[in-house]
Amino acid sequence: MVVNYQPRLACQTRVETLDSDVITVQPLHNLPVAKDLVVSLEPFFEKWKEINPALDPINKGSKKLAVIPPDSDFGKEAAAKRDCITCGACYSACSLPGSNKGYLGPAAINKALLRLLDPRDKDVKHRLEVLYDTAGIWRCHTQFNCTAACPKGIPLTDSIMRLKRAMIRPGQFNDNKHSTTSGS
Amino acid sequence: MTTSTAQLLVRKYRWRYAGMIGYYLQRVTGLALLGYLLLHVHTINLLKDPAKFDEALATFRSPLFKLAEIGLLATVILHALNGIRLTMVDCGVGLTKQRQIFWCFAIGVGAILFLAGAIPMLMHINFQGAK
Repeated sequence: MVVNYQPRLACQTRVETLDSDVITVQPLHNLPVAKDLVVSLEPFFEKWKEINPALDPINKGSKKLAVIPPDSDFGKEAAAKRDCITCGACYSACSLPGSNKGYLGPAAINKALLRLLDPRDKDVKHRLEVLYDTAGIWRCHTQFNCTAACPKGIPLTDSIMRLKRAMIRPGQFNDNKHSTTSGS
Repeated sequence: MTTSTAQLLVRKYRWRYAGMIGYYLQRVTGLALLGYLLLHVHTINLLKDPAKFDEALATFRSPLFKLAEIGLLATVILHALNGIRLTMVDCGVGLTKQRQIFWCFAIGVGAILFLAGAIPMLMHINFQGAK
């Protein structure tokens, strides 16, 4: 919900923290209003589905547990980025879905990055195709609204910038997988 | 006294959503510089007719255009420093400090540079000789 012009988790927003004697509540922006303050998160999850958020395992039939050590490269990078609760605050705070309905949005892009970095996942080509698009990472204008709004403190703009840099050096996600999956 | 919408928006954008101010600033200053560039190219094009070119230069010497030059200085400084901040962000440098970089570097250092250039420019404007 948008409380005092900022997307927040209404269930965790205490009135005293707002430091205001007027409290304005609005439905989340960029999403269709179902009723009053209730919005449909369908467009948000449609983008989420586009990047194939589920793990597509390299060793599908393997019974061996694929462990990601917390101190591995992926473990360290994922630690700050994997806590998304799909609340839609970032999608609401970002100004770009308003001008481009097809824009994936920060949450989906962050999820795609996590999957691309994940040494257990093999769906690299499809995700890169979806991301490498004017409605993908290149639509981001580095406004940092998503990072400011995220109630979990995920550095979403950092994820998008990380992908932009990766796109100008093609092949690094594939290379990353070949070098890190041998042990899993 | 009730908290006004303006107060709430100032509270929102002055720090947490400072990146959005940087975004608008870059667009507005970019468009202003594009306007200046078109005027500049148009003036250079007037060299085909020296009389018209001299006339244009005489117009640019008026106090109004001198004040506009000071505005141009502010526009160039803001666009350049915020552009450096954005380049840093693109390179993955200072992503967690982008708000500090915006306010301290683009706005703070920018204000110092602007004053260093604007004060001498202002002192050289001849308001008496205005047409």
